[in-house]
Amino acid sequence: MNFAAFQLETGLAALVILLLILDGSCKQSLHVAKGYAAGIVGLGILLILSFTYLKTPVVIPEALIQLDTMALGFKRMFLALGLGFFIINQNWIARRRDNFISYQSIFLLSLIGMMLSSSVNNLLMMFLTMEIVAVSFYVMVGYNKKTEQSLEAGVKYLIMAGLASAIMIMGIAFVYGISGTLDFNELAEFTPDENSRDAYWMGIILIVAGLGFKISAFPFQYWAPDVYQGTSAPTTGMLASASKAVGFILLARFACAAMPLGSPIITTFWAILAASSILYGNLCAIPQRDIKRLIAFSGIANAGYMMLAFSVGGTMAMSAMFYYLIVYVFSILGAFLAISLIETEVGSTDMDALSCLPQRAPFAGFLLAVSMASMAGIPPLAGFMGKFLLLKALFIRGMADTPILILAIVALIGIIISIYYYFLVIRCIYWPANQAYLLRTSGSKIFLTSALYLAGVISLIMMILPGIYPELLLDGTDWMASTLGELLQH
Amino acid sequence: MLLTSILLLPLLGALIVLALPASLRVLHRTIAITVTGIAAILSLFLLLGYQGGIQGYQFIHEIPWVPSIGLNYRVGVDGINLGLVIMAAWVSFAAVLVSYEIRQKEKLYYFLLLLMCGGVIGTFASLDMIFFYAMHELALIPTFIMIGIWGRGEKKVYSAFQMAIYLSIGAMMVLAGIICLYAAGGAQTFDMEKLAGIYSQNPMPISLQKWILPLLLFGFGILVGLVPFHSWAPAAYTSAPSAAAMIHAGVLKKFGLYGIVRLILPIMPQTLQPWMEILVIMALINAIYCGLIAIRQKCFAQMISYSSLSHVGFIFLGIAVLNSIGLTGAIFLMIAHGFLAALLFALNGRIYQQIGNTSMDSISGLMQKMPFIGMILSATLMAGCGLPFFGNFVGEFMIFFGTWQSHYSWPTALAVFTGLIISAVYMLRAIRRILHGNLSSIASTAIDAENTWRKLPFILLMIALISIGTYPIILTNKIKDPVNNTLEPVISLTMPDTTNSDSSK
Amino acid sequence: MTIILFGILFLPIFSALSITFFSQKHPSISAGISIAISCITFLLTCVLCAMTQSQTLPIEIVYTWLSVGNLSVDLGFLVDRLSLIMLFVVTGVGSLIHIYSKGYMGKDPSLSRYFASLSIFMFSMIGIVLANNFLMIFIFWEMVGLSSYLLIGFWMTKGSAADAAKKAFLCNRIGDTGFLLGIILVWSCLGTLRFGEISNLLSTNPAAFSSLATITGLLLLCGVIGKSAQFPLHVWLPDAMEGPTPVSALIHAATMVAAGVYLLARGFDIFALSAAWPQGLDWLKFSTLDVIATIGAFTALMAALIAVQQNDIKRILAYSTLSQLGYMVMAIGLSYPIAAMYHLTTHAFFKALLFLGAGSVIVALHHEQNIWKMGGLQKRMPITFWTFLIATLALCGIPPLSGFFSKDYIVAEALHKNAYLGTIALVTAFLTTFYMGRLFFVSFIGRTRSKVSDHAKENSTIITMPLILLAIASVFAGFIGIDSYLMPHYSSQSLANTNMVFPYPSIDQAPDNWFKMLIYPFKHAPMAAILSICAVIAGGFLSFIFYFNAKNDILSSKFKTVSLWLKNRLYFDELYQNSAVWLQDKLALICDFIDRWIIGGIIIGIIYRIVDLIGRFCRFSQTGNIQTYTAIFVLGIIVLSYWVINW
Repeated sequence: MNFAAFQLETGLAALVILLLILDGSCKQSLHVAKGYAAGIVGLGILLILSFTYLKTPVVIPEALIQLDTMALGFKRMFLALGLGFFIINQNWIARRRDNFISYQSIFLLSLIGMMLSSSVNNLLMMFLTMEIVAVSFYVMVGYNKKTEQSLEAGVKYLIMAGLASAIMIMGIAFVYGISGTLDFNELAEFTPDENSRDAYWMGIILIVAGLGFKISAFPFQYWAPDVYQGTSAPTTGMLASASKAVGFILLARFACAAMPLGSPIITTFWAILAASSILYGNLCAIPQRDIKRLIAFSGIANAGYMMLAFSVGGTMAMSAMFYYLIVYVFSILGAFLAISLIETEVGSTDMDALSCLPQRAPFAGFLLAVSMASMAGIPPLAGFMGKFLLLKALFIRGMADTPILILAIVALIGIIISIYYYFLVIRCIYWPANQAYLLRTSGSKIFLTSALYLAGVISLIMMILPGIYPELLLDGTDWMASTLGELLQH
Repeated sequence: MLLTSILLLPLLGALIVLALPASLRVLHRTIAITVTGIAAILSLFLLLGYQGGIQGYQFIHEIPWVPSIGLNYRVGVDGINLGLVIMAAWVSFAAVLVSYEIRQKEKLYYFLLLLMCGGVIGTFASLDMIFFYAMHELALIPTFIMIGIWGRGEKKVYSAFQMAIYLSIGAMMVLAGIICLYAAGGAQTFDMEKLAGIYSQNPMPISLQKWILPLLLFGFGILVGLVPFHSWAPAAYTSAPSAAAMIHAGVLKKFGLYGIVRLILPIMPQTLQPWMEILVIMALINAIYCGLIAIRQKCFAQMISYSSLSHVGFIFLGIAVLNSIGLTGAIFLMIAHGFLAALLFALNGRIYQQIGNTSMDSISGLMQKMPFIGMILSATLMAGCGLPFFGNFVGEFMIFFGTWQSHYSWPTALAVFTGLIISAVYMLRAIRRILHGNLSSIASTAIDAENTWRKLPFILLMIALISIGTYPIILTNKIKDPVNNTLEPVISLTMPDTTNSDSSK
Repeated sequence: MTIILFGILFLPIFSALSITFFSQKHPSISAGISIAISCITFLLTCVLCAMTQSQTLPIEIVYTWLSVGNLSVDLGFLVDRLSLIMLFVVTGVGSLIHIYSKGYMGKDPSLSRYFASLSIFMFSMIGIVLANNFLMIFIFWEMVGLSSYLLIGFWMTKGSAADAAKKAFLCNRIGDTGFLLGIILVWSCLGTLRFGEISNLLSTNPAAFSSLATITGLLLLCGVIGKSAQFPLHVWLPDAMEGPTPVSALIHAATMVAAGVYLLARGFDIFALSAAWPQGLDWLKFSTLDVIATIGAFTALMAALIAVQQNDIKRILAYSTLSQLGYMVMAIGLSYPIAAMYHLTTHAFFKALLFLGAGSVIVALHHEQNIWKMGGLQKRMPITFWTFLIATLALCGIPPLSGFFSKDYIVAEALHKNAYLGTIALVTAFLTTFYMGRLFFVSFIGRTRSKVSDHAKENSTIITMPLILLAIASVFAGFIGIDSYLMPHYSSQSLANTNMVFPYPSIDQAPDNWFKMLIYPFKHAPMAAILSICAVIAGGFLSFIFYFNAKNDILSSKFKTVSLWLKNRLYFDELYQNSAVWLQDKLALICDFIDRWIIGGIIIGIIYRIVDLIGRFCRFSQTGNIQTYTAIFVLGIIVLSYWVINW
């Protein structure tokens, strides 16, 4: 087996080991700084390497793991995202005076799982990587063991994620039992005969349900709001971005291989999932007053938008979905930078608390506002381009296939509703609304370390640059989706 | 390049303002005035350099943007949007000039305002549908934030959200329509000119036109405030700070009207006729209904908002009658009304700033305290009721003539009635209440525009309004050729055998 | 020629602009500019007249102002006898009133604004006179409305003045609605708006309007009714007396209100078309001219009646103006535009003089306008007294003053063509003398009725000089042959379809010296001349009996009801207030209600509530209970698989 496919993950593993060694070697304050620096530098080097050293895909047909264009692209995304959350985590931990290494190393471990998941080409590896990510998150979600809320969230996540995993492995068993293969390429060429058809489809739906849990698609989304709200902000951010991205990457590979995308039944299947997610997420988000809970519901809706791509099928839609996904995760990164500041400094994630941001941390306020605007799809931010590309794919399909247009209308209604609550957040940040709350939360300026600025800038660049110059990212996503193109041809 | 620099200047200014520390208050303002001022002056070179009699667009500047899906940055002007671009640039300049009333969070304010300025200029300069749409949104969002932070009155939150929802519904319909135009064309291009060319060669299937047309029409209609989708406008304009209201009511609202002219008329001539007949009725409802409501308003800002909706009805009418006189009048009126609405909201802002409210019940005799503002206000209100030698009159009478030419006899009579009488009733009422009569105590502390800088925005807009009103041919000669081209497919469809009345002479 | 025309038209607006921008704070300079320019335009008019003596009229100079499709609007000058004579009146009377204004308004702090507005008026009025097409007339028509608005509301802090200005503008606007529609009809039927071309087209093809002829004429007439304050839109003119008196003289007596008559004379070809109605309305047999004559006659009589019981000196004159305008309109209705223009000219002189005289009295009496507080001014203000007397006599139609000739033509024509109209004309002449006698006897003759009139003093030369000049004009305007000057204008045009009766069969038979002129009315239509003189004598005698040295108004105590109705101007204002204004107000109320509560409240509220409700309902399922979540999770899988498998 070619080692090249694992280089980045290996590097990350080395970084984890380095951190663990540092943990035991020095005094508290010093090792934190060193470890922190090492982590940032290490992630940075890996990110640069992924762009320079590992530029071309390495195709190993017999391996369980592929370093194809899609994998490469998402590995870069995960590294950048990881860098950002590493910094945000650090800020959170520093406030709690907690053990730094234990949390960050678990986080980096989950990052390894995420990066591996982008290379998955096999049902077994799919389950494996999902479990790596999920187990790390069990720990991280429940990490804040001192508060009851966090424990409740941890338990809920554990039970639900366990259920999802169980259901998924059952689905894998069904599919394997009938098709006799775990490999996606082979699965793509397999068609079940009349007798085994029902069981085969049962298996596929069970797998989709397992992945649907990850992306919090309707009706597998119920855990998300409670868990998001209970968990500490950086973890919530990762759940909303990285964990969801893992789900979508796996789903893209699996759906392209095992489901005949574009056929009427599959189109309808995804259309119903997408439409119900969009409507449910957006409608439920309206009355929310807690920003994390609001993002949980908006995340359900965003999952719905991305699932539109599965309904449409084809590389163009997949490319649009990747574009949307990448922009979305970086918007979440920016938003949670601000939210984690609020949570640690003010001790509340109520939306009224946001009103202190312009005075105390103007950059964070601006970042949150921009990410909300980007998610609402306001040009020239990248979120607009993402929505536009998805809608474009939808309408081009709809020209020939009129029922798809109904889906488009649902998507548009969802976008309109979402503008309301995203703007509500912007309003809470900038409009002098609740004077009493403002007084209570006012205080000295919150100090932002330069690393935090770095994370913010990464997020800002990814929210603005692809909007102003879409070609930059669109080329990449087209390149990434070309991998799926081969699967889709079958 | 000229067009690009006009629209990029404010956006660059916005970035500079963003980069400077918030404490340099004067500098933000200076930068804003400078960039929009230069843009406004540059825009005049468009007028000078525009060559009549040439088909197609001029001052084209094109940069490939996303070639893979046929998205290009492409700007250019023809007679239809030439005046709109110039109007956008000058209104932007005036809006920046009246912004001295803002005394807090200047940095954010000027950042947002310059975004708006760049956005509105870009909207009308764009020849690419997605840029056209995106620039409009870019200008729209700052309005929302500006109402929230610097807005007036207790209902500002409600109005801001109402506006945001209404306009996003409209914008989404427009976006859907635009993507449909793209998808149905099958030519991988968002270029308005190319699309019009493609569809004139291969007309869009009627089955598609049947629902793309209403989608776009009502999408644009919501953005303009077509009754009954207009509730956002009076609320938002009453709450907005002057500059935002000026740019929005004056310039940005023309997006929808311009969009109908650019995207619906040339591309979907086959199914146009029945919808346009409906639009005639809706336009009249807009004009009469909103005019009557304006009569009842106690708040000056509400009154001018409704009057602005009423005027928009005339523009709709000019478009809907589908002949060159009406359409030329409609485009002319868009420009004139842009200046007019900007002036009215600027004046409203000045009065609000001085007195603290604009209720016509409590203010009177203001002419004694503010002779300059009073003079400009009376002139503007007079222009609003269609007095000759102001731009509005020229546009309105062309629309009346055009309406008659398309054999809409009762609509013509109603439109003339509205334009001449209803508008006069509310405009004169405002003059009578606010400016004439005894000085009310609430107004006794008001002071007139202090110096030339304060007077400048009003003077500039007034000059613009008067100059196009006295010398309309400078615009109409440029408007009429592209208008004829736009209407060519419609007219050739509706009157296939008879010689059409436009070419009979 | 072109330069002169441009000068005449644009110098006044130049004056207005320079006053506004440069001499706002220097009233005397402003007045100087304005007066100088109005005098220059008068001189230029004289030069123009001299130049046109040797040229064939009409002369048309045309520039394109706007051209779209087949709609083309010119900035065009049309110089012919009609426009020249009107131009002469406007600039001549205008210049005198400009000068007078300096004396009358001298101490007003807003003098600059006054003169700027006056200059705008001159510009607009000259524009109407020189226009060569309907739309240009309409443009200046509106501008005249504006300047009238500005000047009526000149003392804007006074509520009544501001209201009167608003009312005047709106009444004009109502008329203009019809006017503009009429213009649109002319354009759509004939394809042109130029008077010259319209005349030519109609002379070759009188049926060019087919069935729309009468409707077009009536719509155009609306503009006239508004501007010339004919019934039913006459209500604004008496209120307009709230403006400064020179303004009343210039705008609301001599020139602007006469613009309606000028328009009738100008577009006579259209009005003179025989009755033609579209299908469905063809049971209406009357023609435009019938309507014009009726409205004119009715206004003449009604206004004269109301004037009998007014006590404000300016209001009496205002109603007198209405009445005289009624005469002119009636003359047009009798297809006699020459007489209308003739009367317009003479009326401009003596009515301006009457107003200026009244103004002189008002100044001397410290702005007292009630005639019952005047009296005994003969000795105290001799110049004003004598000039006012001349004007009164001219208005009543005492030969050989100018009013006699012009009015006699109208009366003669009316008697000749229609006995009813003739009777009305005679009755009006009688009433005119009666109320003017009342005015004159009460305010000038006899003893002083108040302290202010006791201390009255003659005004300075700047006020009296224009009075004297106008008095001269009022005396001699009847002899100088205005009618014969106008004749070629109409005889040159083909008016075969009208039955106009000229006072002279042809221009050669016109009286060639002033004496023949003097006796010509008695030769031409002796019956009419004698009857009208009788009416005047009767009116004068009656008013002498009632009002010479009277303490109070005998009529109002004897005929209480009639007097009350007349005093309250036949309750027209109340009628309009309770019908049109009420209707408009209620309509607006309904629309506002719909907008505020139904569209703004209920519909938006309902949509908002529905969305909100769904959101809250969805949230219910978010129980926080892990068992529920698991159950829904599994249920979702079951439903989905069942559905997919059984597809």
